[in-house]
Amino acid sequence: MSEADRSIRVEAAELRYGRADTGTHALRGVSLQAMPGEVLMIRGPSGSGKTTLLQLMGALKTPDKGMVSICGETTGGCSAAALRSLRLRRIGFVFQFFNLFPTLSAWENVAIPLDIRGVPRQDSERAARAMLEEVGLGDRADFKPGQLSGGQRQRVAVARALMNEPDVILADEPTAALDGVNGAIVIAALRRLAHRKGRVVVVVSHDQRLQDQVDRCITIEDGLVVATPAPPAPFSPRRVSESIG
Amino acid sequence: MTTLIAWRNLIHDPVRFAATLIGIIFSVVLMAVQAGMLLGFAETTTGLVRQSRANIWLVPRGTTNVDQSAILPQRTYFQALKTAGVAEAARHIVRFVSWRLPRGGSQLVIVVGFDPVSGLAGPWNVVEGSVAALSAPHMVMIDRLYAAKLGVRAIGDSVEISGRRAIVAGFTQGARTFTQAPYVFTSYANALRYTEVLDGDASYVLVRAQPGIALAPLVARLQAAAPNTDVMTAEAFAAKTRDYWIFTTGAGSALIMGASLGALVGIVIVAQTLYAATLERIGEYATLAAIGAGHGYLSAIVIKQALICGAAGYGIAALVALSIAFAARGAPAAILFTPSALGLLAVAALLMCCLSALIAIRKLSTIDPTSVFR
Repeated sequence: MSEADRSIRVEAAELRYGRADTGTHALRGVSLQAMPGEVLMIRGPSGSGKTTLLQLMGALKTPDKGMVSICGETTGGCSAAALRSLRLRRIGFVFQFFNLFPTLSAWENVAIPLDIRGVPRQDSERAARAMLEEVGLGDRADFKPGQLSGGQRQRVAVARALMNEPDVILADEPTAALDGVNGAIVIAALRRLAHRKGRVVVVVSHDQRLQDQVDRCITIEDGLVVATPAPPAPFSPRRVSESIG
Repeated sequence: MTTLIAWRNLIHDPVRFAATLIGIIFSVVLMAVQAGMLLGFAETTTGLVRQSRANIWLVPRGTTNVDQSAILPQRTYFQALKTAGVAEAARHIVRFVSWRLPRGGSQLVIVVGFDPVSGLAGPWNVVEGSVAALSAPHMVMIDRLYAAKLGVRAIGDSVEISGRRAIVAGFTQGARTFTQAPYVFTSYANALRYTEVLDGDASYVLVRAQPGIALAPLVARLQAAAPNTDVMTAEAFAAKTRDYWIFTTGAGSALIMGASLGALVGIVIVAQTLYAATLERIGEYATLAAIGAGHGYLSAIVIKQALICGAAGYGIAALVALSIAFAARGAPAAILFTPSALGLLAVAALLMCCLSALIAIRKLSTIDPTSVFR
């Protein structure tokens, strides 16, 4: 699969809420590309359309006009079931408030995507515990979310997002509910995913501190991209070693 | 995992879970008792026929139930006797008469006059005294359930039936009557004295077939031999009697209505609980939908919650219902549970809970996964 096939492409995407003639334009022809191996930040004021853009890039919505392609699969015209399948196979979500199940333990939360795919419980438990080891929470696998700190919860959420080995990680304000130290830990984890494993990582955030920690930052206002630097060079082992170094 | 989520969702709010269980228990107990009474009624109404050991009953034309009938003439008995395939025939009397109470007043009873030689349709579950004793003049047998009601204390008590003397010679246990007019068993000869039936006539003629004889052809032959009667197998007459008392009188309808009401109460209680629990966790369901869970996965959680509630509620309710039935074993109205009835009740309880889940499942079908990003 080529680099382009593992990217997210948005071309002249428009989306309107409400009636076609009188509704509110959330996006007015947005174009961008998020490449594997980069951390792309989308920023903008409230109501600018950045969350709507994230929903398009996450196959949660389809554009009224234009095109969105996720890892080579165009979302326009897809059925709800096809979009669900695309999300399950290709995309991992990290939410602002973690969205963990309070009644489940950390490993049970992390195992959910595998369970949805029908992986047997023993296999999914083994994989979930291993994933928690990877994010440094192996000793917290049996803890409920209420017994974890905010940073630990978000790392559990990241572990859950990674369980299906997605090509794309979409993070909505991943540091908003965290203090500076924990926010930095989470962003470092997302950077590692992009740079070491060649994932597409898109972060939507108001957090000004993140600008220096991402590879590229685009600004969106009134449903339009107003500032967008060029995409980085394609993902390569050399770039990985630079990032790690 | 859906089972785990369902279970944890339930126990996360133990007060709501307990309230749901209480609702289900109430509902299932109500259904169980109504159904148990229906079965008890069915058993009670047909007792005389089922316990008769007769294969075929010849009954007056248009007879709807065993407790009420016209009179068959003497020739019917002989018509039956000479029919090929008949091993034994017996005259049988079933008539409402008046029993004079020792404390004053009277009580309607049903005199059951049977043929002591054949023993067909005599008393069953005899716990005191002997059937043979009933061949002697004046001797009668009643059920222990009705002894107090009839003012009888022990064997040897002298009573008055239709203005004539009778002596209690024994007791049965559990020979209930649906009409609440107790059965008074006695010989055919004695019954003639307590009723207006003429010697030789009878309410019914009971037939026992020769071994190996097919009943359907024999019924047809008897019908041809005694064309002014209705001839049917004991099973058919029992079913006819049961249907008459259960459905024609409205008793069965009332019980079925009661059971339905119980189911309705259960559905409403479980439905509102599941719907509230689903609304409370709508964000979690939206997260699952965003991750890629389909409607089936989400619905499975709600259905499993419903099934867990149903199974737990049914288990407790079944114990309560069985306790009630045990406590009512000495009451005139029997509450009867059979393994198949309990099985059906379990299915009904689980079905009730699944139906209750439909509203919550409908809510899940409208869930918007984009809400996780708002």
